[in-house]
Amino acid sequence: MNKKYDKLGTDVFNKVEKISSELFTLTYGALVTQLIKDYEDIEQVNIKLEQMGYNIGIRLIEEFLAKSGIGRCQDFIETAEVIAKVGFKMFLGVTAHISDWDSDKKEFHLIIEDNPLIDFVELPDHYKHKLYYSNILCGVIRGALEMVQMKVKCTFVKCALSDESTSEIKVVLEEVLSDLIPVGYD
Amino acid sequence: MIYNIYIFNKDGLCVYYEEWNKRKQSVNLAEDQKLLFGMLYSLKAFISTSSPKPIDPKTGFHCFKTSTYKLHYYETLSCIKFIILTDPNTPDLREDLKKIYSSIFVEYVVKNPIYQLKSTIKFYAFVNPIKPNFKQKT
Amino acid sequence: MSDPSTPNNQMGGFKSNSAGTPHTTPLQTGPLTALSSISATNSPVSGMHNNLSSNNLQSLDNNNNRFQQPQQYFQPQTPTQQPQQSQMQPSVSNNNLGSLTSQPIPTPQQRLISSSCFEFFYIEMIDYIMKSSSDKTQAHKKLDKLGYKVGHRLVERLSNETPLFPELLDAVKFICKVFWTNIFKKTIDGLKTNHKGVFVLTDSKFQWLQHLSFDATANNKDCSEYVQFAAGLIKGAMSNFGFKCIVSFDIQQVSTCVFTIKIES
Repeated sequence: MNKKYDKLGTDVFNKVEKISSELFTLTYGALVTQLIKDYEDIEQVNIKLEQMGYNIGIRLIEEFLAKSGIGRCQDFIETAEVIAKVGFKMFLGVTAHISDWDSDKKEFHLIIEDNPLIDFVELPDHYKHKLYYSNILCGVIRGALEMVQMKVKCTFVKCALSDESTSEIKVVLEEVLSDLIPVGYD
Repeated sequence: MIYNIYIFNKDGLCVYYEEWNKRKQSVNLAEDQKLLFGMLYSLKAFISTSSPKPIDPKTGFHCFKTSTYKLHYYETLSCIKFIILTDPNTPDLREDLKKIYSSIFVEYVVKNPIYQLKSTIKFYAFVNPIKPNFKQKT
Repeated sequence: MSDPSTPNNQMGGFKSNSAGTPHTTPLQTGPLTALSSISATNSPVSGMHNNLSSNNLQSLDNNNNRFQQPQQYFQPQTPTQQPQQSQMQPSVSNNNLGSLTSQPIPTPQQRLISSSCFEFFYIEMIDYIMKSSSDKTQAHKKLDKLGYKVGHRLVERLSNETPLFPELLDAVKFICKVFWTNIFKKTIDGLKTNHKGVFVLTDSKFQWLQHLSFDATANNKDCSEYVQFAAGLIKGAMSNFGFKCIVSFDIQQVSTCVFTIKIES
């Protein structure tokens, strides 16, 4: 399974239109600075980044499904693999890896060793461990998974900018949404 | 011969509808759409229970055929439903529906900055390719 | 005194680059190699002379195959001489965010991401700015400022190995070719100038408007917020080259954007 998704991720990334990441990295940095200016409270900035990520995720999932042709995942373990090997690769050009599964297989850690968002970024000390600079990624994962019937909660547990070795996101599956008939239909 | 196309979003809202060559006029389009959505929902539920082997209702249901029309169905994992009604002899159009999703819907609706989820689609960059796409099949 | 806003009415011939040495990277048909590789015969600057009309209009004509889209863009790996500014500029609020550490940054090989990744992010960023501003004018100002910051830094990285531009025109051409290609994977399609500090750049297929369309019956078809950031990018880039300017834009037809740079002397 691992090899299959690695290959798929690479294949899809090779097919998509690519640009150099600098514009993205710089623009993201400018946006985070703007958010800090607008909100001042760092916790609010984290929340806002996550919300923005959510809005991105609900669109991004369609492109993901259309370009990757991925079918339904058998279980949450497979979903995690797909996110790390295909999702991250296809958009950010890097693969993440999965670790620290809990016993129920409803929680995992996504480890991003090479995060394009943080290229050349250094946080001042008073933001370390407070500002989750790449929190937008948590929102993207949450938004994307919600559109495919999974309600998850994503939080940053480690951030490379706060002197940790890598960036690490904890993803917890809260609920699998069933294909309920919408209100108004009988 | 193509009769009409429906696109439903996750919440059951018919975000796009277009018709060609229909001889019978529908009395209440919104009601018809709701009925269609509800019927398909029940049909998919039925398919799961009645299937001799495990089946995924999202991708397992392909089409049904009557004496006057054939209904082709394609649903994405993100619950966007593409439905097209054609004459009974048209071969399977699921691949075409898939193409509409990936090359028109994703490109000109999802990636359209002004698109609001849960609204109907009237963007000309989406509407314009749909018509000729099927005109050749009418 | 000719009106700088109508470059078509200018007189005179093209003043040749006195230094003679071209300073912008020619776009090859194959993958671009080091940014600093310059060849006189391939130089777009010297090649320009042949294509001038008497109206003093300089055009970067894609049809002449002089500006092929590069397949890949390679950034040289030398560390910068001067400390590079990191992305996060200290805010000017009273909070005194403090200065960010700057250090010489080794430039790694160019990293690629999918262009849709940026575009989805861009849509959301514009949405946030529009919603968090009291009105459209303020939103445009914010976008212009953001674009300025980003453009200023981006061009610094891109022009790392490039010697100083001898002329204003060379700086603008760099923007039209190298800068624009890095961002949009294509060059500016048309450049006109009156040689008096006004440049008109035309992008006939502006990337960030390619997926945008309106309801055929919509009343308000204003999508200028999606272009304002790009105007800021140009302004920031020019300022890094030492040219202060005003950049305005006009959206024509479907996705043609015309940017006008007016140098403030």
